[in-house]
Amino acid sequence: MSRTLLILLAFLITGCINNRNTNHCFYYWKSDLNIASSDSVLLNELDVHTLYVRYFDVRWIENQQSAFPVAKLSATTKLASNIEVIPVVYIENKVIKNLDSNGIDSLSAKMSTLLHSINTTLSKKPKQVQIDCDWTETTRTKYFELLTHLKSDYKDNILWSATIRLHQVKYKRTTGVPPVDRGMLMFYNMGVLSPQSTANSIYDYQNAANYIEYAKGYPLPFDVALPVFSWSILSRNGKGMTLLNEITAKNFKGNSSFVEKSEDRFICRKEYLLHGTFILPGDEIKVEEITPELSLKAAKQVADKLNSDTFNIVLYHLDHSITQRYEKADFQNIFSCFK
Amino acid sequence: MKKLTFKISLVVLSSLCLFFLWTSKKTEGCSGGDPEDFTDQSLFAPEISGETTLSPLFITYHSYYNNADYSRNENYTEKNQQEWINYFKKTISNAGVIWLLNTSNVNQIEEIISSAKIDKTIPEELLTHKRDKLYNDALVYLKNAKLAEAFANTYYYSWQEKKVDQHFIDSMSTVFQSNCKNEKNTFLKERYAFQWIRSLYFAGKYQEAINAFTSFFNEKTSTGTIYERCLSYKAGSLYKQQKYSESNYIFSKLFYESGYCRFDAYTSFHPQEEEDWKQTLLLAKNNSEKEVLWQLYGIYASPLVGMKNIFALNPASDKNMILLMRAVNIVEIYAVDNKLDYGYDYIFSPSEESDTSAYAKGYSSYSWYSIQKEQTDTLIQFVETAAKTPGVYKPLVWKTSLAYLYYLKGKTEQAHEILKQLNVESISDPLIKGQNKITEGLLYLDEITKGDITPAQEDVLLSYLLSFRKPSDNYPLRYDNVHRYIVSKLANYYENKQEYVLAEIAYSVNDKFYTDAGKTASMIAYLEQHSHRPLENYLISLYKYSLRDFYELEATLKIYNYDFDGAIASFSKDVSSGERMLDANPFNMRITDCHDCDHAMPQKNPLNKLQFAQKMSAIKHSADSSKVANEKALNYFLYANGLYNMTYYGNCRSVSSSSFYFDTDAALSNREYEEGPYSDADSIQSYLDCREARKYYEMAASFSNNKEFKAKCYWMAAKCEHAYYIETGFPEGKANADFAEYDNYKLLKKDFKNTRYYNEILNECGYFCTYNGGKNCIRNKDE
Repeated sequence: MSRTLLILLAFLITGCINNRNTNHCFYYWKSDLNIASSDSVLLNELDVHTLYVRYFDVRWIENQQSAFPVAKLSATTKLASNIEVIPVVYIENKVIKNLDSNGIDSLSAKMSTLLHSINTTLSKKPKQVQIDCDWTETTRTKYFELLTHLKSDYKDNILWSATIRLHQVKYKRTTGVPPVDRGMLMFYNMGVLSPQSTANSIYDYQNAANYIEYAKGYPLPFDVALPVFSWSILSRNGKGMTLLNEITAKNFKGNSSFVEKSEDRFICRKEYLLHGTFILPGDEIKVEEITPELSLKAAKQVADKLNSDTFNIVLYHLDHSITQRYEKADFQNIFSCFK
Repeated sequence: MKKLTFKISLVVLSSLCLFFLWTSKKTEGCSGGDPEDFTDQSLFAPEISGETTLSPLFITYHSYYNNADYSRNENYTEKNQQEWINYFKKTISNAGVIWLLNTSNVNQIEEIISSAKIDKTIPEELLTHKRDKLYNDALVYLKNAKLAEAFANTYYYSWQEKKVDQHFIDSMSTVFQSNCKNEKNTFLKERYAFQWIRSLYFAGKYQEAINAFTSFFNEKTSTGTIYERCLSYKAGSLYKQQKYSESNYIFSKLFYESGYCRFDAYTSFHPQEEEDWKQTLLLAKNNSEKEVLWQLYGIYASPLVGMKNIFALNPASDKNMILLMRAVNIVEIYAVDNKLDYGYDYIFSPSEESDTSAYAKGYSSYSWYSIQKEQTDTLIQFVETAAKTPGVYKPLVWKTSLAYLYYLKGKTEQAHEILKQLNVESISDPLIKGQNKITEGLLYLDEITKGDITPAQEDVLLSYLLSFRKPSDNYPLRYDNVHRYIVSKLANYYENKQEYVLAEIAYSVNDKFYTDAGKTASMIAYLEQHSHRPLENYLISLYKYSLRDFYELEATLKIYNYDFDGAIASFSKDVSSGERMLDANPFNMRITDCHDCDHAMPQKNPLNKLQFAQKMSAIKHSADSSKVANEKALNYFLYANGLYNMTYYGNCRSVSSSSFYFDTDAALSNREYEEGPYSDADSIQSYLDCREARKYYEMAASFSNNKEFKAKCYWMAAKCEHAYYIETGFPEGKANADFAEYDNYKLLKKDFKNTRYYNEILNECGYFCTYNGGKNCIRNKDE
């Protein structure tokens, strides 16, 4: 039996494929770097030694008419020395839109300084930095210019990666390919965030299928990010109001303030406060839950579509409420899907 | 007649495009300017409630109403300064105290302590002040307090890393605790207590901060600013400990009681879960405290729910006023379409930034969506009940609100009934009376626009419009908005009656009106009429264009149709219409154009548009009628220069200017960059079309025997050819050619190579030089 056939057989049986060099990782997206001890243990058990840590967001501050870092990382606990950190900076597309060439130049210098400063505080010397920006056709030139500047301003000889959303994979001709070493294929947030939409905006198999075939042809080697998070969309009179992070159907089932309209929809019938959000009678909740099964389904769907044999599998994101909802085996199943 | 209309129409359209091209794109939304506020849309003034303490929380797109910054410092600073002035027993000037508190830094304080004046900005009186205990202790306190600023008063927007120096905070905390214990002076002791509690909070030692508060104040209550600030840190510590019930209860008390940190308490009030909220309500010691909690809930979540709960506790409560005002304004957000039109410079267009949802995402975001169309009836039912409840606080305000809500909901009869009950003319409060007059006027407008408005009704409406003029800029009633709303509705009425001229005059936002030659002609005819009814006269007086503007437009269109005599006739209808000055001498030319140079060149007799038209007509006439070839040649050349310079390529684009700035059509304005050249040469807009100029340059050449002059003519004709290809695309096979060959280039090369002018062109124009195979041309000298 040929090797290909064996691989195919293995894939048919497990739905997963083998013989690739993968690295297990999580995103850490909170501004307070404080990992619960039980989560530290879990990371070890899952063989996770790399965290993509969001250092700061760069946002356009209207009343200052300038870009500033917000939600800067504050490290209240030290990370274990065996944890490698890949700093991530999220840049709001509006920042790129509003800056001219000089602004891009100066933004790159300021970002580099701040990245180094946080590295020092964490006592880490990252081998890679990731930039996350949902750039568009109109901002691509300036965004790519920023990435080029960053490489030279940061000075250390490291790898640079950028997040790539599915639409950017499919329409690479118009949105362009960022000048970095690796792409992080974001295999979530792929749908329309709308209370009316019937599909799950975080992950939907059919939606993903419309894009994923294009991944193989993407010119950057991919790492892959998968969802393990959930949220609910709160809407009022049909208009989306806010997202309720990590709120799932169990928050509403059996709650006398809500009426279950369907499996994933609930109507508020009496004023209710939930995670600091005021919910009023008539408000509708659309639950977009990613279960361990759905995470695994996403992993299986993307596993053989990647264009690289050596890559990081990154779960979004490390949060105690998520590590409580998922079993260790759930995470293991997701990771092993790519082996 | 028909032919003329058609011609005018073409010219109108062609001329419009020239405006597009050289008018900068209108400002969209709010970039670069103050954003539109809700107060520019609303017809209902919350000031009628008489609420002053909480007026910053009236509905606005900004953080606070009237864009006021109600930060704690603004209130607290003055009080604090006064307390320090009293502490020093006026031995230091007010300016000296303010310098110590607000300006000085740690080093300067240390220099004062050690009497070593190095920094010359230190006020002399602080160095020579008697060194008594009172003074020395204050300096020590201030030095430590300024050291603590490093962790307690950091600027949010900064590219510095957010670092927590735990050791430093701990050491400062120990200093403050010890000094607090040892200090005998109550004034300084309290301040040390504040610094101590605050440093514990920033050290993340929340329980210790709470304990410090308890031990120092010993559960006693006080009304002092220091007590309130310490209490805030206690509440903050409780919040960090996720003890939300107690934390929010304290913040609600501070919101109600504290004059110094009311709005800080407001922004810190964050109930989290249903159970916390229930517990917070249980902590309230009496109905008044519960009312405050529901008031905050009303501001944050839903004014209707807040009001209902307050009303159930105490119908006479004054705490519903702010909620009622917010509720009515929130209903308006959805019910009143009264967007502000800033005119051609600043046309408001809803965008992501200016959408209310984006602005409302402040502290009270959810309440903005709490009463939409679907909930208005429920609100009305509640206000009906409250308005007729005996003992309700300020019944006139409830009824005034109710009348307006009825109007918004289209319940005309009920609105009239309430106004009748109110007997509007007898109301003594001018704001409440004025607000009801507004409702009355709006109802009247609705009533008369259902049928045909009679002249008598016009007069009544005019009297309403005249009464809705602001007596002063800061007058609270929203008369400007009301006035705009009424005339816009009136414009809709005229539009429906197909009275387009009146519609445009009443509310001129439809710039497409002026692209229609027929409508424009009707407008001119209407404005030229001698008699108008009073309402018409009033609307004309507010209309943004005058006959003068139309005459200028008419003349301008004729200029670009090369009908200079016609243009003179149009300008002559009102000589001021031709007075717009040109930027440069339109009869000059250069080998390579330099508009800035031409504009900077002093002009002996600068021309206006009328004079330009007159000169063009005269030159053309001389050229046509002259029997002398050279004279003909020279005049045709000057005429061609005028034609060239009034195009986009020439030095007098201002010939095209008028008072009309039309709605920018992106496809047209960006045509050069995004849509490629005109596919049809006949559709080139005359502003961009150099063919007429080329014709006369070539004609000028044909009448001359002077080779130098002829070379000049053919060179300018070549420039026109070049411009033509820019507009229409380069000839077949030369689309990407760097150096296209034109008829006049060929001619120059063939017949004029030996002229001086030809060599001047080679020296000045790198393009032509390169075309000729030059190796050392201006353009490629550095290559």
